[in-house]
Amino acid sequence: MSLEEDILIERFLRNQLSEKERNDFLYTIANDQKFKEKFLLEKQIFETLNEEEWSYVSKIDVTEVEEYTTLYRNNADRLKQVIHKATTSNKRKNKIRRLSYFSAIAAVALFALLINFYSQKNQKTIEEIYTNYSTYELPSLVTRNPNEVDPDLALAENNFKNGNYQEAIIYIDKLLKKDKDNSTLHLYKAISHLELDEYSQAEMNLNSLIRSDLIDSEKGYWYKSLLYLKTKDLDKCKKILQVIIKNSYSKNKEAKELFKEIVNYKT
Amino acid sequence: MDGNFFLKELVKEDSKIIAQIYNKNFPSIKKFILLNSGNTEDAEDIFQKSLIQIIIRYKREKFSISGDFDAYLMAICKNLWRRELNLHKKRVTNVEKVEVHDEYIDSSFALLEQKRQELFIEKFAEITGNCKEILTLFFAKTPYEEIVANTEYSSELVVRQRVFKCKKRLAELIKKDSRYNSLKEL
Repeated sequence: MSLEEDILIERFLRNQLSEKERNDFLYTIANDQKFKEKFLLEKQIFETLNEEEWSYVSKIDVTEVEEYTTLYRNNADRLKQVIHKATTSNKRKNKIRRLSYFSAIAAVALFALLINFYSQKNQKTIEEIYTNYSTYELPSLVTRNPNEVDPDLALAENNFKNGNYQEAIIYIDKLLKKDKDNSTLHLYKAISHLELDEYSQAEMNLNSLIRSDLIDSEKGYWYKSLLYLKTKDLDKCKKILQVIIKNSYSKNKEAKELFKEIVNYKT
Repeated sequence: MDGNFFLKELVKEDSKIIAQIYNKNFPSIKKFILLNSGNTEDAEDIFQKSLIQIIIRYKREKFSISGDFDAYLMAICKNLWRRELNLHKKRVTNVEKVEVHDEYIDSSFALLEQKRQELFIEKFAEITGNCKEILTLFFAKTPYEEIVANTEYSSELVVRQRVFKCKKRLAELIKKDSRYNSLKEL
């Protein structure tokens, strides 16, 4: 394949051809088997290794498809039940274990304890509460203007979104050297450390953001409250939430909800 | 979690192992899905589909997991979710015709797509470090002028030529592998 053909395929895949060019391209694919093969492989590579897209199977050798389909047909429904049962039976076992323990205790005490038991049974764990609140809605690092895109921004954001926090930090640090006053970058960095359970580093990053005069410095409080939630330091978490609520800082609605959930939390 | 140990126990459909896998991995899977436009129900569905995919694949080919089981499971979940999101996008924007298959055929397609991705990533790991770097930027759709500005390449043409050569090398490695024959588009 020549460089010209390669560029043409790339422009087609990026939707950059004019209508006439596109029609000519489709005509060539329909009439030139060799070019079609090159195009299909290029398309599969592009869609597979580009993290925003997915390379769907469209027309491949049917032998394997049929074999797998038969296996799915014969096993999938049963497997669904096995998995469902296994993932729910754990909770049931814990419940039974607790009930036998309580049955050994005197009736009055049992009654009192059962009340406690049921209220705790319905109580979410701190991990569950944290998971529900830690859906980080951070602004994208990548601007929509392609002329301003720094490849490190895309790499930092992609790694962050995919949970590769260690790699994300490498690019964020590079970017912070060029743009130390970018509060979004500071947040990405602190959250990456938080997700890696590097709490003191995360706390340090958030403190310096909060102390700075950057425009988004108040956002640091919300993530600091999540840090204390994750480390189960509920007293500190509540104090930070009260600061957010009192000053109507960013995420004060979420702060009110979270405060309500943990104010009387029984550990 | 040792990859092959958990794989072998999982395919025995051992409920204790399934519960252990669930307890260890579900919170992070759920978190990934919540962060990417999904909800808890989606996360349960993706978790279930991924375990079924591993078991079904093992029934046909006794494959092995070289690394950590958790990382492998997470990769499958991410791919299944990426697949769902792109399918939804295609349906909404109507850019491409979306064929509707029955559930079992669709799951088989997803499994083969996973195998194809694993093959491509394996081959990508075999190309030179310099090629990996420039192709990573290319696949992230970084504009050529930005690549020039942030690398040591002197012009867009030089970058294009380098990308062309690296993609050619990658394509050769993929085509040479016999597994590609049953995975390639016709």
